[in-house]
Amino acid sequence: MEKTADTPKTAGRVLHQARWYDLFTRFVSLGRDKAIREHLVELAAPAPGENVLDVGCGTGTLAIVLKSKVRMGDVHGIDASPEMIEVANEKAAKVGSNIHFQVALIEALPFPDASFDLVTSSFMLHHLPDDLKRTGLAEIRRVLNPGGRFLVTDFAAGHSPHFPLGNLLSVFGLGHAGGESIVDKHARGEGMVHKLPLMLKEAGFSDVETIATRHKDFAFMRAR
Amino acid sequence: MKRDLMDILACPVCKSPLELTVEKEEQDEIVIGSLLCRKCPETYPITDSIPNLLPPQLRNA
Repeated sequence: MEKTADTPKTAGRVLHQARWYDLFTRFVSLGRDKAIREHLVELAAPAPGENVLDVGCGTGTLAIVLKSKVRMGDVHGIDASPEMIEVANEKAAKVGSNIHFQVALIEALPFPDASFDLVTSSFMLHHLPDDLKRTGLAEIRRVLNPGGRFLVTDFAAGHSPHFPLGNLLSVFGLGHAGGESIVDKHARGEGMVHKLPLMLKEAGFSDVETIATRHKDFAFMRAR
Repeated sequence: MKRDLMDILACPVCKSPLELTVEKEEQDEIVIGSLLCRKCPETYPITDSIPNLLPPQLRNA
């Protein structure tokens, strides 16, 4: 995806093709995007009245589902891409969902400490180099209430020697992070999800769980 | 953006509260405006109802 004039100078990858993004995620997930999202929400267990932040919200699909669960609770979505936020606002308005979307970065969250009961992140962390992941995870821990939970899902590593999803990503020019092919990293079993539990602990999280699911190509983690 | 967003938004750099200036408001939606952090000091734009809270050094002018 090409950079535009609005691309922030973050070291993370920023996606701009917002109008095609939902179709793209459906294709890359082999049609499982909805099931994966529903599984993440089930694991997150958002309760009515809770305040929620979706980091890297893209076009807002997950945020809209979360809002339907927390009802009077506030849902915020941030994304580095203005194009994604524009589409997210349109989608939320279309379904009458009152969600707060902002252009912002995971490494510089625009919220005070202890603002949220739940933070979610889906298919975003693999876009970040490790140093940015560490900064971003510390920011997420900072804006979470004590005991608040963080739910993350991303591509699993080492499941398949050929990592078909990685090959699909590479077709779309998305298979590279930090100068190295994600496909290559997965072939060596060094996908980022292996490092994530330690990174979460280093960022101040406790009760870090890797949750086994039937979605073997995807990793789900929960931390507090 | 809605005015009640001010209850939670903070400066992305120093996390201080922000001050809202409204240039255009339609019904209860702030369409154009800005958010000022007096501590930094830095201004964050609101355009097309969307606040842009990218840190100044990470924006692309």
